[in-house]
Amino acid sequence: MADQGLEGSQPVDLQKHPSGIVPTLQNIVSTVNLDCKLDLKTIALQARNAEYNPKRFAAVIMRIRDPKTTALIFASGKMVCTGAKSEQQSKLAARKYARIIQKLGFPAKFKDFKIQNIVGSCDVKFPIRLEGLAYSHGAFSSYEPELFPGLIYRMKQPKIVLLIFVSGKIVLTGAKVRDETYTAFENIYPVLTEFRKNQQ
Amino acid sequence: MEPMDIVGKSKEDASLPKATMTKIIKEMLPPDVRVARDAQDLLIECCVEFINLVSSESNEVCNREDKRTIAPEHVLKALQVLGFGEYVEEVYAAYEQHKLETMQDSLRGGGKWSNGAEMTEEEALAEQQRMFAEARARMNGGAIASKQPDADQSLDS
Repeated sequence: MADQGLEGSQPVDLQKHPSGIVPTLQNIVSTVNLDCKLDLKTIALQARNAEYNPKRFAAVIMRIRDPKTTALIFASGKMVCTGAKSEQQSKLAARKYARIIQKLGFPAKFKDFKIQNIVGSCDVKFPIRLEGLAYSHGAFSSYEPELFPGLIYRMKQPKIVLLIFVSGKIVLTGAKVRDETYTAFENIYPVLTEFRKNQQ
Repeated sequence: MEPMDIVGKSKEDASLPKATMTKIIKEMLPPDVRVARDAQDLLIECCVEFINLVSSESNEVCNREDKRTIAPEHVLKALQVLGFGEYVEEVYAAYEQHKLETMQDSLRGGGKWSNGAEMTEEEALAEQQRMFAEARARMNGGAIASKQPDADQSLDS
């Protein structure tokens, strides 16, 4: 979670990020249609970076090093790409997987590429009173410390789910575009400051 | 070799939270009755064993039906198979009650602290945005105006 906030190497645009904190993108999930039927057994046997256990999961799991990602490749020709740190990386990785499939002799295309989920995280650098937040935003919060230490906050607009931890660490998930992540954080930041814990 | 080793248990094995179990046990007994620590521990062991037994049998039932996910129906069938048939009706009633509560929770917005008043999606959105605006105003040191100016008024009026 480096290069975030005012102490980062690059100055923060305070018009766009009034809090002075920019959530860091940690994971992008995207899908694409290769638009051809695939023989997963053939792929698993011919590609060195692939694993396939049909009893466990009905897709080939393939990995590449750059961008460091994992793909789930289904017999229908649909593919899911996970692990990229930016939208561009996710698309580039998906293209690389499609190229690998082409090289194995399948007429793979690159149809309907779409970012399905963006996960970001940041640190507000102060502890938070989760009970107070859960109480005042009860309709949108779920806090069960015996089950999970974080408060789950469901934002309506943009439609983002936030995990808020007592340490001040925040995880934002559910965005389709990065600006939704940024907007969600700017929405919640003033609320978090209200429930700042007084350090003894 | 410790006695625990014989039954293949280790200290790291999952158990049930003692405080919660003690609370449940005490709730079922008159206030003047006390339970020995050993008896509590034994009861916890029995509960863990029961969970293992039901889980294992539920898995068998699930496999026989060529399913991959253990469903409530599989658990009920497992209880029947294991000879706990007389509990099935009660367990099913508890399951139905749980479903009902879960449904009501999700309709209400699901919050542990929610005030019980059901909100429409539009009302929830408006309420949340109002709360964000108020928090932002407080953070910026100014109070938000209690009444918004009418939209159709011109700026120079």
